[in-house]
Amino acid sequence: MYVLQQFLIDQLIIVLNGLSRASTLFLLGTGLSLVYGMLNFMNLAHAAFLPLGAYLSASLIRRTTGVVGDSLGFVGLFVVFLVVLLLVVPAIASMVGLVMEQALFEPLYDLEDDYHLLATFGIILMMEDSMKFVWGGQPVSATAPADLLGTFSIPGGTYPWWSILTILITAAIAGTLYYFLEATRLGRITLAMAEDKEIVSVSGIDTRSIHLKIFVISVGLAALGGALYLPGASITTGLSLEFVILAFAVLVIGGLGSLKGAIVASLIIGLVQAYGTYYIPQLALAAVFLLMAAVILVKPTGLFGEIDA
Amino acid sequence: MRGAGAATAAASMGLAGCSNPASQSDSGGDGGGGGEIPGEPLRMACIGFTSGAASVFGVPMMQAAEMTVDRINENGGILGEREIEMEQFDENVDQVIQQYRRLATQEDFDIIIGYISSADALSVAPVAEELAQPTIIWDTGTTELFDTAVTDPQYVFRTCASSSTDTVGAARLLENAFSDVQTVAGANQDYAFGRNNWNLFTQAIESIGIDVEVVAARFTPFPTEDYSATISALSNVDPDFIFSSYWGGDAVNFITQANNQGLFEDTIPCFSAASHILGDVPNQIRDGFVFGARGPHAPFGALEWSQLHQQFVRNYQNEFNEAPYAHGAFHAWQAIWAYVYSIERAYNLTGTYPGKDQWISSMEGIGFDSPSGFVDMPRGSHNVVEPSLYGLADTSGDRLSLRDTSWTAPELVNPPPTMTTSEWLDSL
Repeated sequence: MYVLQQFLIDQLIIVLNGLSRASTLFLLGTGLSLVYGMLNFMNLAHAAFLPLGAYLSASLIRRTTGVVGDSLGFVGLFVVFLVVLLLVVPAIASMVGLVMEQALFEPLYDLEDDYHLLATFGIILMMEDSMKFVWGGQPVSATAPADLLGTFSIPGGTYPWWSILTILITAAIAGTLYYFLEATRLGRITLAMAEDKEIVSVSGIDTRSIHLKIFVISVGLAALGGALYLPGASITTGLSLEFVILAFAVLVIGGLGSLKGAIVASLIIGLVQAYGTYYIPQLALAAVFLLMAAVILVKPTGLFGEIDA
Repeated sequence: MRGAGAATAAASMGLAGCSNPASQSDSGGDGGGGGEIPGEPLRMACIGFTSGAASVFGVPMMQAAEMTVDRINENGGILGEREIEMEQFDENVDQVIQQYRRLATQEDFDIIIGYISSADALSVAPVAEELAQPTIIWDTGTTELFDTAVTDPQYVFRTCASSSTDTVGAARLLENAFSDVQTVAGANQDYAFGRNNWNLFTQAIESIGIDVEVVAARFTPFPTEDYSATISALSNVDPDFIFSSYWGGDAVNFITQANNQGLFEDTIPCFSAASHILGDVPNQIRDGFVFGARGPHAPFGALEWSQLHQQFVRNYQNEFNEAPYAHGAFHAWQAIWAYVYSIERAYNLTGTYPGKDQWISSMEGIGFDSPSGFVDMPRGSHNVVEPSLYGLADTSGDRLSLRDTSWTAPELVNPPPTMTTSEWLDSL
């Protein structure tokens, strides 16, 4: 009986770990997928907005704690943290993304795919170095929001409430995005642009404006991924390069340009990594790419995509 | 007053008479050098990671190197006459060997000091021997350096302790300080450094005959940002003691997430190479966590009685507005002064500026006081030995320090010069 109970607890923790991981991957991968779907533009530099969001969060959490930490109670401070992480950080990152879109990305749109990959990978490196210049090479952490929430007890240990909150917030965002794409005019235009941009364009819709809006939302989601990631971990240089590979796996497995695909692929990768790390740690990362290779072999467009990978 | 540069600097820093007199009659061949103190500055290349994950070590190392060279030059340079012209190079390059060859042959540096990565040091050391280029490895820990890569070194020296000090020291800690520990697990990075550390630690446990059971060995990719599954697996086996050689962001993430998942509620974590994070994430470090510092390189809580230690820590803080928690800062000081002392020592003994061969003879058997205590290069070895230091994190003060430090003598954590680490461990 005890063995069964322990097994079930282990499974619960692994699933929670997987969902928490999937949340970060979803917030990152969805934007990448949407932008690719609309513009056929593979923006690898998208992954750098996740650490940017995390670094911004660290600075703002520390500043907030220093300025109002003593005057606000538990609830007040936590609400301020949520506002900072859920709204302020994505807003700042989106502004940065908007400027970069106009200055760096827009001139690349008409080039061949190879140039997209090369140029945006170069931009990742530039962004990495810029973040190192601003925040330094040492690990940066700001765990105050997670510390405020604390942990809950499970037999044999504890588990952080922050991870649960991250999963719930991400689920709510996934639902909202789904509604946005299926039920709002902007969302339907977005999907239509992914299908055939020229048809949408000749129908009098300002596709550039739509694209900018989606780009800003995508960057905001990636930064939010970083903001929710930071309180449970730390950030250091090189994180963009690590995440860009996984974000790419989300795209390939889920299908380019598909929200449903991004959700399912994030869940699969998160759970594969969690189970892999628990049972066969040496193969945890390889398992993700074996899965990716299998999907490409069986369905080259990805599980839910219609565009060739 | 030639040579007094050495004497003056040494005396002012409490160093006079520290060199090992055993080798003073042995100045070797001419090696193409000898004679007056050269008029031109000495060219020194310093190589370390100034970008990438390992810049957590490389940046403090470069800072300390710069500070050390500035101090030496302020006193006139080597022997009070020859200034050091130091150039820094990022180790974070694809072609480490090509970079090394260029520095040694085309740019003609007198001394190349560097390397943090085990792989880089292992690649470069044979090339240094081939090119007969004086080279000091200043931070790399791998025991493979002189056990397998270069078994009969001439031109390559290492002025920091090898991983033997950290790992056998941690095993001795179990033997002497944590004798109630029954189960041990490992959490290390899945590359040469992590594997080497874990293998040496477990081999030491077995050879010394410490009565503990190894219940898990987890290796995570380097770098990893999500440790939740690894922590769950470790929690499941509930070890009394975890040995980890995690460093940098990996150490921070592991500790942060392990705290959240309650792993350390009844498990003692022992980090052999992560003391540098004490200054980065003090709020994540709980009182009583065990930290090593790749030798006795803790700024606070050890050796604070030493004037040289105080001076180094104070100068570093004043200059860079941070404490030298990174052990690499101490390693940089040791490497540069080892070179300077060896030149000055050879000159003071022979009256001529040493060539390569005299330099080698002078380095062999050198010993000197440092901010981390006495640094000793045993005769017959090209590797410095240092005592092992572990301490408990002390969170009671304004800044984190180590308390209840446990020191293990160099000869108990390092092989003798005639044996490889593995042979020595087998013989225990």
